[in-house]
Formats: sequence, structure tokens, C-alpha cells
Amino acid sequence: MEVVTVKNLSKQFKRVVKSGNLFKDLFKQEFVKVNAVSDVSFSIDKGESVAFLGPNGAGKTTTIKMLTGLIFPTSGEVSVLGYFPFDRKRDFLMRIGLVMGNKAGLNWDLTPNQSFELLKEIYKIPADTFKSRLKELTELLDTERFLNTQVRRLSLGERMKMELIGAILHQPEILFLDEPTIGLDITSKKKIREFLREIQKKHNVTMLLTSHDMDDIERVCDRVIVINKGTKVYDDSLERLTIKYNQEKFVKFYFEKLPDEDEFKGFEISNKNDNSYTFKVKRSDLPKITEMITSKYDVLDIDILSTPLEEIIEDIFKK
Amino acid sequence: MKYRLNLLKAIIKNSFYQDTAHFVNNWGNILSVVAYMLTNILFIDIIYQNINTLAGYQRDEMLLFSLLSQIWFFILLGIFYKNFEILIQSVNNGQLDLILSKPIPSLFYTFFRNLNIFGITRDAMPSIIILWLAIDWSNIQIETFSLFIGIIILILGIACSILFNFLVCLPVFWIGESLSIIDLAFTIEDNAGHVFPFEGWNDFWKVVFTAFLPAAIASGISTSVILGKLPALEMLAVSLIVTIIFLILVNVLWKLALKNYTSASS
Repeated sequence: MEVVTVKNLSKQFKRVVKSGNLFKDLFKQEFVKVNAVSDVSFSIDKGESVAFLGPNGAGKTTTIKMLTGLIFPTSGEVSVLGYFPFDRKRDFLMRIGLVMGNKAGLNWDLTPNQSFELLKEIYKIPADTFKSRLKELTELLDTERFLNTQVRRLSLGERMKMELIGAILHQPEILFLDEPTIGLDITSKKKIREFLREIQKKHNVTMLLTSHDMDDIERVCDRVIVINKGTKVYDDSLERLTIKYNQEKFVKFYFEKLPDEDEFKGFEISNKNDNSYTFKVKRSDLPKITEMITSKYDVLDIDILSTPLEEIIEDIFKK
Repeated sequence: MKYRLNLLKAIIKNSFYQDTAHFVNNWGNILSVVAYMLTNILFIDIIYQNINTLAGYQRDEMLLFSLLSQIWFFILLGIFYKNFEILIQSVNNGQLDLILSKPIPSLFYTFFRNLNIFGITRDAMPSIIILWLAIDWSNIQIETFSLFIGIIILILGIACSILFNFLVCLPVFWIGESLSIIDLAFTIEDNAGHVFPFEGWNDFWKVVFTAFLPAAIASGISTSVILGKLPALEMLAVSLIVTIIFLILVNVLWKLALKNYTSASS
């Protein structure tokens, strides 16, 4: 069942251009039109976890903002849960959640508990449900002990976890996440990713995520939509994406004594360390090359790696 | 309606937590308000040592005008002005996203997001009590009907003032941050409607400050009606019409403003 349908969606912004002339800028402003999103179409089924990828300024966040009704599209059609998001009908807003990694939703001077009390009223969550849900979520994220600490005293990771809890207390059907792990340490990121996967599977939540962290994408999402310069350049499952690029492998050989680079003429060396070389090889050539090197040199260990997702995405950006 | 009332209750509670989060603010505010009011009354007393009336107002009538001005001041500045500043900043930095994505009436929440009843009471009460005690009520002739209508006009005037100040914020959706515009609007309004009685202005400015920049309704016109200087029902009708017009304008322009909202970069 489709919950998000987007057809030929576009958004154009008017940007002020500063000429550098003080009097001109004071009295007559000049504008330039920027196509932030250009003719994008896709649909998302219930329960899917989709990543929006793209370089900075590609149009990912603008797309999400149009899907959540924050900004009005210039043209095209958009339907989320059967609603036109910009109408901002209460029924629609009750069923979605939004987390923005770089924006604080919780009040800085209050404790998370105090802010959640307000959210309870906003989303009309019954008292019993609120209590049990809060308990469930804080246990999952291990944040019970921070509920009565002022938000300004929490670390970034702790605050982000609380922001997440605030966004899903009302059990939204669709969760929009704009860079939810930005600036977080490895442990916090891991916790949040596990949490997102857990709630997605348990409650069949549809998730749309933007992130520059490939680990977020790999661990949380099943499908990738790549946007570059406002247009969609790729839309398929993460699995198919990696299979397509799996024709090449990266093989890392650890040597007892590192051979000279000249001995590997004809090989594509992607990386070299004090005791290892990494070669980029075709999947079909892998057995032959492995046999050749291990028979000629003292090899301590071998790692076989798939093409990193960053490189795959970078390759798509270039197209 | 019930939802909005429940939301208001939650907002009031939340605002109380915020206002009492920093202890020293409480005492600082009270002391500054008391100092200001005593100075204000002293100033009026000094003026009236040399004159009998100013724009037709005796000393106690002028103090009554000050009293109504103070009520206007604390409600507008204490509650709504702060919310409008937050609106301007949140449009500029994209924080408005977090309001618009929630199932709350956005216009309603923008007006009432901080409803600091405790703070207003704490700050306004000393001021109003001091003024009340400074007025010699036996010197003022007030009829019950005029008082009743005057209070309604005060409420309508405060509403107009709030709506006007809100409208002044809306250009932020088109041109970016404009905190100085709201400062300017407040200064003009304060001087136009709350420093001089309504009778101090000529006919042209009376019309401007009633219909276009409704600064005079809250304090000037309400005081004049209470004191019997202006016809009560006619002024009530004028105040009501102006309020309705501003209400319509706010609703229409808010929708237009949201269409122009571009959020902020992530």
C-alpha cells in the first residue's frame, strides 16, 4: 500500500544576490531563481525504510519538507497518507513524526519530561499509553535517568535520543528523519540505528531518512533514492545497488615483509600501508590473484571487502 | 475548543516552568517594575504641580489613563511580544518547522506558545497596585455603564494591538529577520496611544490611531469612555469593527505567509 506518492515535484526558491554595492543592495535587491527540486517522482510503500542520499544542496531536505507540509511546492503532486501535506490537516500531522538533527525541538530550559507532557497534550495521548510508551522508549534508548535533567545539561547524544523519543511518542505511521545522527559519537549512533530498526519492525513504521553517514543507510534503510542537483538519479533497493557494484572487490593483503610497489605492476592498488596493500580486482579474477600472491609472498592475512557504499554513491553522483 | 483549552492549560504550565527556571529573574523584574512605576507617578505629580489639566485630564484621570496603559503594556509586552519575537527568529532560523509539523493550530500556537501567567502577575501586580493606590478615586466621576463598556473596549483595544503587532512581524516570511520592525511598531504604538490621552490628538491622528494603527483604542479611547468624555456605544462599535477587520487580516495574511515560508538550510 502506497503511503507516499510524489509526481513531478518541483520547488524553486528566490535567492537574494548581493551585488557588493552597499547603496544598490539597500534600495534595490536582485534575485536569482534556484531549482532546489526538479521534477522528482517516486512512491513509498507502508513499512519501507528509505534513504535520501545526495551531496549538500542536492534537494533532499527540501523534498522532506514538502512531504511534511512545511513548504509549498512550486509544481507537481504530492500525497502522504492520502493528504496534501501543505494543508496540514490535524489528522495528517497526528500520523507523522519529524526529527531534524540540527534543530532542537525540546525546550532548552526544561526537562525532557516537562516537554513530553506538552507533547502528550498536543498529540492527545491517553495517560496510560503515554506512561507505557515513554517507559518502552526510554528503556530501548537507555535514557530513563535523564528524564528529569534539563535539556541544556544533556550531552548531544543524550539530547538527540530525547528528541527521537519526543518525535515518536505518539506512534507516527511515517517518521521523517533529517540527519538524525549528525555530530554523534559511534556508540550513540549505533544505539539510535538499532532503535530505529527496532521500532520500524515492531510497529511497521515507514521511515524516510536523510544522512551523509553511510552506516546509517546500511543499517537502517532498505532502499535508496539518490538526488543530485534537485533531480532523482537513482531509486532502488540497497541490495540491488550493492550487487550492481559488487562486480569489483577490494582485497587487502597483510605481508610479513612488504614487497616493493613495482612488483605489482598491472594491479590496481587502491591503498598502501606499512604492512599491507589493497587491490581493486574484478570478482572473477579474485581466486587467481589470491593464489598468485599467496604463493609468491609471505601473507599474514587477507581481507576481502565489497565496494564501500561511499564510493558507490560517489560514482552515482558523478553520473 | 476543548482541545485548545487543554493545550492552553499545558502551555501555561510549561511557561511557568520556563519562567521559574532562573530564580534571580523573578526578583529583578519586581524591583524594576516598582522603581519604574514610582518614578512615573512622581513625574505626573511634578507636571500637575504646575497645571490643572493636560488635554482635559486632571491628575487622577491621567493616572487612570496610566493604569489602563499599564494593563495594555504588561499583556502585550509580557506575553505576546515575546512570542512574536520568537516567531520572527524561528522563521529566520527554520525552527518554525518544529511547530508546523505538529498537529496544533499554528496561528493559535504562535500567539499563545508562552503564556506566562505567573510572570505577568508577578510583574504587573506591583505596578497596578501602586497606581491604584495613587489615584484619589473620589476625584473621578465614573458611571457603571461607561465603566463596563470601557473595560470591553480595553479588551478589544488590547486585542487590536496584539493583532497589529503580529501583522508587523509577517514581512519576515518574505524579507528575512525583522526584529527592528516590531521594535519600531511597539515604539510608535506606545507613543501614539499610551503617553498622551486620546483628546491630545487632532482629528486626523485620532482616525489614524483608531482605524489604521489601532494604538488609541486600548488606553486612550477606553479611558475617555470610562470618564464619560466619549459616547460609549459608538466607541464600542468602532472598536469592534476595527478588531474584526484586523482578525480577518491576520487570518488571511498568515495563510499567505505560510505559503511563502522557505524554512532554513539544514
